[in-house]
Amino acid sequence: MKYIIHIFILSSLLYSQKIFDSFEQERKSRYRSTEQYTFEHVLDDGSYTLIVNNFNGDMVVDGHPGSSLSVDIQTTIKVLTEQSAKKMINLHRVFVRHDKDKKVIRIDGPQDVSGRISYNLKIDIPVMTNVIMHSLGGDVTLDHVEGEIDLKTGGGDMDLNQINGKGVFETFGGDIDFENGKGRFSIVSKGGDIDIKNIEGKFSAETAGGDIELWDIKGNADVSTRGGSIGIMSFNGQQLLASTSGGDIQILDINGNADVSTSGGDISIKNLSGNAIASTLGGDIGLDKIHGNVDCSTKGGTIHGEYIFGAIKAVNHAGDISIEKIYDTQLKDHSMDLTTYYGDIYASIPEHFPANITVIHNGENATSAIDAEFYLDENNRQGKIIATTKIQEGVYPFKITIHHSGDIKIRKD
Amino acid sequence: MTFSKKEKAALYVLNVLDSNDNAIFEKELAVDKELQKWVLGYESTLKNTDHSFTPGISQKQLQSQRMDLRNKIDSELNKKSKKPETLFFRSFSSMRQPTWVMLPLIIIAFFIGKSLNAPKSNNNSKSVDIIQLMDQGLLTHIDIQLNNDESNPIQLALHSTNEIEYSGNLKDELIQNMLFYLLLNDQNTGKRLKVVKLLEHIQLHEKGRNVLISSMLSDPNPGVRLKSTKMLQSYVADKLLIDACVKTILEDENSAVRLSAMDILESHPTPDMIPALQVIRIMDENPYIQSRAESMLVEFEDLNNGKIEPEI
Repeated sequence: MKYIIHIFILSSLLYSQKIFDSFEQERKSRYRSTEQYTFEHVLDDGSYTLIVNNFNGDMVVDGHPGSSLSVDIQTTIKVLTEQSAKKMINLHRVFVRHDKDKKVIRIDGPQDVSGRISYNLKIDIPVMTNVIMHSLGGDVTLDHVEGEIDLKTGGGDMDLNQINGKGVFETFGGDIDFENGKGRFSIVSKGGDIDIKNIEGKFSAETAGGDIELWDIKGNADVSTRGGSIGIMSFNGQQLLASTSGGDIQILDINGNADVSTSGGDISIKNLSGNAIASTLGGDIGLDKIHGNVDCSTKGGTIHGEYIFGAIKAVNHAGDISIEKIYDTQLKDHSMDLTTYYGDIYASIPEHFPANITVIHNGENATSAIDAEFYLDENNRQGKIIATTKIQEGVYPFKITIHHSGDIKIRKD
Repeated sequence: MTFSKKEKAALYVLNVLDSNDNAIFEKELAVDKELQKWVLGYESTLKNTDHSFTPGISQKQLQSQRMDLRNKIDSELNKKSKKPETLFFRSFSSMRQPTWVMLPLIIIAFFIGKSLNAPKSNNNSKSVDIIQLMDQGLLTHIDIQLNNDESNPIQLALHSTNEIEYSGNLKDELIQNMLFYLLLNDQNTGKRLKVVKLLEHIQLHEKGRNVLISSMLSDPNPGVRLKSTKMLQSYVADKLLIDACVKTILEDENSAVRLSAMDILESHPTPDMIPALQVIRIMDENPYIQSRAESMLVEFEDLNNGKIEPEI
């Protein structure tokens, strides 16, 4: 069996085209070896696949238009003598193979890890090449590539630019920066920040601990962090999902539906055209210029909404709610449902807003707690106050509920 | 000796081999002197490592740090409640006086007393309230807000009621103490993250650094632990920090936190780490962390003419 493997390796090596090989002493007890391989017949048509396995070190992959693929391996060896350095290189060799039948360029790192050797890999590939890279660790840079991409590193940052196609990017610890891409992507860091800019398509991004920032996104996005803030600016698509187990969420200039949640932190949504669902287990919710319907809740904090053009449902367990409603006849739903358990409610509605108002106060001093700019027909049912009225035709239900304590103020603008 | 042999030896020392493998290994061990030497070395390494961890950051350390915080708070509280006029009034009131003297004195005392008990500036009374709450471990539901006031940009207020509020900047000791308190005690992950991000803007003294160490070791959220660990990279690594990092690398389930702790060890290499690195090189589940530990050991070996010993 061993014999067969050796024959296979040797036959594979016959295909490799090493064009350069150098060895030099960098300084005392430090040697550097450089190996370069070029494969001219690797076509720029998406038929070829680059596979890198078991490599430990930084990797840079650059795409270029046209055929040919080149590999540049730099090895640094920390030993006392040149002889030992050369021996080390032979023991811990990186193998580069070209399988013409399968159209695969394969780079395999050494089997054994040595603290005396470190590697850097630079690969130039045709733009349309599939890439599978599973590295033991190190930073990865990938630039200008189209195809199916599967990138994993045991630890290190990822810098991705101009990637089109389908991609999976995963690091066991490190930041991921991804700029300019089209396609379907899955981005995972076991801990580190994720920054994504100018992406078109569908993607998910997940980090076990770190902040996520998105800019200029077209398509659908699903982002989550187990501990960190989420910031999203300029999103144009159907569905935006963002969740964090702890941290603030800020989204701005959103054209699409947003569903955001945090287990502890503030939420701010500004300038959204679409529907929004926002929930926090403890923190403030700020809403500004929402051209759509909102459903939001917090276990403790304040909910403050300005320029709410559509329907709104807000629940606050401990804290105040203040909402300034705008009546935009182009939108169909304008119902309002505001609830607190402990906290005041302030609502401002437009002068001619046709609302069917119901105010329910279950707490103490309920009668004196209600202050409206118009007449309310109040009924006291065993300490529970129910006050109702209709403004104009009373088309849209407008309900305010306080379960325990708090004041209610309703103003007409 | 091959890596797989070393791995088997490590598993043997840790007593996790099954009976069959154990018997095979013991046979091999009986005849292989190099292997015997390695097993003995590894056993002593584990012993040393265990020993070096005992004074690490534990609940005890955390508690002592909280006590330190509370003592500080007590002393501040005492400073604020001390009134120089008390002694004078006590000695005066203990003297026997005739009624005609006493009557106008009572009237004067009434006005003096009223002026003395006039409400103090808001910030002071509130800061005392905050100190008392921290002292009793009751400071919960605190909101952290950033405002536009350049001199006092941080505002800490009791959630929803704002009954207690205090403003200041990061150099303000009370603000720092409150942030430390929230980082160690607040249930809300978002708030703890906010605190770590605020503390990034200042180089903390020993107490602050110890709070970060506690957070790195004990925060339930990996995001908070990661941020605390990253912040600790800018501090001088003494034995306490090194032990804490080693503990993190050996015990933290999140590979990013472990890698970040490894960064600290790499930037401040000291011979004390060697036993721990020898364990990490074999035991860490992440090959990248293993290889980094291996590289560090090589550096130590080169510094010490080919020997790896803690006594470099």
